[in-house]
Amino acid sequence: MKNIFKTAALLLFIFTLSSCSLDRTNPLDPYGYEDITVPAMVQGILLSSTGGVVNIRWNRAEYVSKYRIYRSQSYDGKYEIIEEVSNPSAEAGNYVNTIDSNVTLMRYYYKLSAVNVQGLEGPRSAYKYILVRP
Amino acid sequence: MKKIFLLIIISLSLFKIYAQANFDITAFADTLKYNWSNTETRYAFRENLEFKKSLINKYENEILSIPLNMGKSMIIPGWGHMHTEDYLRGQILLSSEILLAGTSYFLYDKSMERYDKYKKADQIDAINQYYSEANTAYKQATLAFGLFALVWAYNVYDTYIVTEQYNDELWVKNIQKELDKKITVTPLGISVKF
Repeated sequence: MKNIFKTAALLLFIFTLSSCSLDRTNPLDPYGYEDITVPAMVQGILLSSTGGVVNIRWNRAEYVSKYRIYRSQSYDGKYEIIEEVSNPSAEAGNYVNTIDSNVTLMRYYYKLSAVNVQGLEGPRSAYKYILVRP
Repeated sequence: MKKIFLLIIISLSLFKIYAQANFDITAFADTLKYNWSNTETRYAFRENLEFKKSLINKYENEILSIPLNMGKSMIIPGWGHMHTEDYLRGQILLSSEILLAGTSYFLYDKSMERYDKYKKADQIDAINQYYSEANTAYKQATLAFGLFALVWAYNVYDTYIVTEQYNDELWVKNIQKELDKKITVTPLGISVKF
């Protein structure tokens, strides 16, 4: 009986300790601040290439201040920001942006994300790739 | 008033005389009451008395203070155990405490490093990832620290038990040591055991 109490006290002690958490203090964290809206994942990404130029099109979303375009040379490699598009040209609900003219014959992987007015970047899209010919 | 005072003094003097009259000097001087039939038995008795006295002196010099030993274990876990010659337990406790304190510090440092990244992050996936990593490390650090505190408390409690046990065994151990001595010097002479 004494051992049961000891075990229960130890478990309670461990449970209490493991329930300690850090505060969510990042002002862009939607779990800590309810007025933050997370931008949705960018949808409808289409890539096309002509003469070493990659055209990227995607669907327009609301409450977005800018879009970030990432590129990598492998699907699981490091994606680096190559462009931040603040005022993309509007075209039938889509935005079109020519971003790269110095590419060689290679497969390029792209990801896009939207940033809201508060400066919070939403989730990055799934990668899209295209074979670029000079 | 003077009469009363005089009466008290006389009564006290009479009590004193009566007491002296009852004191049996013969019985007091009788050496046979301690079974000292001759010089040898008297020496043997004295030897035994000296032996017991030396044992008591030795015991009092070697006995460990429980609060002092517990205090030592509070400062450095296992220190008290080492004083009671329980080296293995002392070393285990000390290394466990070092390991737990080190783990706790390492995890706390990792947690704070991730938490700083979390505070600076502006991308939702990074925010969630850094917070999750920081929080996991923080919980583990807290748990390690909790275990450190538990082991520390056990170490202090165990020092009390071990010191008490050591003091209990010390008396028997000292007698055994004295009996195991090969050469002993007594008032009767030097005795050598083979």
